[in-house]
Amino acid sequence: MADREPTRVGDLTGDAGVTLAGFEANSPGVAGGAPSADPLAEAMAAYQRGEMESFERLWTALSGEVRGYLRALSRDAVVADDLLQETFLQLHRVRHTYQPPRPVRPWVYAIARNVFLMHRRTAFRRSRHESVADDELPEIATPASADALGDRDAVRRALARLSASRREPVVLHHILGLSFKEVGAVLGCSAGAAKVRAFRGLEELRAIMSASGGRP
Amino acid sequence: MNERTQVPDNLRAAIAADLRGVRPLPPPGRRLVWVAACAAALVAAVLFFAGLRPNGGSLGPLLLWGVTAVQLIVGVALCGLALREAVPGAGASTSGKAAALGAGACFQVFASVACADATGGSPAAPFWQGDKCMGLEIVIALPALLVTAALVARAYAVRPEWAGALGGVGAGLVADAIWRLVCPYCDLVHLLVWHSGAIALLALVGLAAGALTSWQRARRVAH
Repeated sequence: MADREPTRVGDLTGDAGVTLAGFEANSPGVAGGAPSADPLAEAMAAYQRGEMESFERLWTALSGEVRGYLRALSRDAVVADDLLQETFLQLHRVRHTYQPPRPVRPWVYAIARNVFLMHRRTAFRRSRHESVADDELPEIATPASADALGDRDAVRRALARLSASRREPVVLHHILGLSFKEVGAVLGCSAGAAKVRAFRGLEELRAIMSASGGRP
Repeated sequence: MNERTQVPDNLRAAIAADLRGVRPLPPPGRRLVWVAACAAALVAAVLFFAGLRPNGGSLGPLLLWGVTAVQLIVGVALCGLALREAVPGAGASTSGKAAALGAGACFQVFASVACADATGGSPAAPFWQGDKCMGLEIVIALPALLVTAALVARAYAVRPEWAGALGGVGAGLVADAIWRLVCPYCDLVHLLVWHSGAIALLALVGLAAGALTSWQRARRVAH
């Protein structure tokens, strides 16, 4: 399976009847194959030169998906919004560490993940004792096209119940459209390990959805 | 443009207040040149001031210069991994970093055993005199460690503990490779306890510096 192709659950599980076509990346420069020039990389290079409009372009292109990623990590919309701003502030502070023409998204997600981990560290005591009841599961961002699955709420609930280590690669690859190599770069593991974790996450997602009566 | 796709006013103000052109960080390979140059300067300085060990002939050129050269390369490569780790999204995988650290440790043990084996462990140092070797190795490692730390600090390591440990072991291996040319003792206990101990200590220093960086970052995010 090509790294960037839209992923189908059936591709990974052998079940052709289940598709995650709705989880294709919805960001520019990813869906529909790799473009010849990465507009995000161009915007980032211009931002490094000091252009405010380029920052706004980056925000427009990335804030939605980074918010979704942070929401998937934190399982809290308010915290995710706070962390989103902190992520972009941090991105601004360390914008010199982006090396053109490397892909921008793994760089941004690595910073976002670090901001989340730093937040979690300070909130560790509180979060350690947090338990989430099934009926008050937090909202995890799913793209509008996830309706193709039939029961969007079931997918969202199932995603929220995935263990963090499984949810993250699923969100990064199947929802946000990062290649396995990029997912590995964000998570600090090899592309192969990222693929295995995403595959296991999908299996767990299917099992949760089957058990809860949602369409697998 | 809806509310969500607009940059929040407070964020826009913070960015605009500090917006200026910046030069992108050079690739890790080019930054590594600084560490390699530092290592080369240290070799020259230590040999100039301390001189080559008097019993170097008993080791032979392969064990003396060959092992030193390989150890220098391994040490500089570990520093390079630390520099790579300092660029978000560009670091090696955790298993890769662990393997690199393990390889560095294995090479250190191999070099110590080979040296002791070739000379029959003679001459041996009184155990407690080894602290001088350890101290001098740490002093020799400091410039390489500081150069690596400065280059890492100029970037943004998302896993600073790893970057610190890799930099510490790398600088320690560089220092041990150089001190191997000077220290006349060949007994295995001396080499493993004091020489390798210096490397372990430097790894801990790097790890602690990384942990401190993480802690400071977490505090900043909390506020």
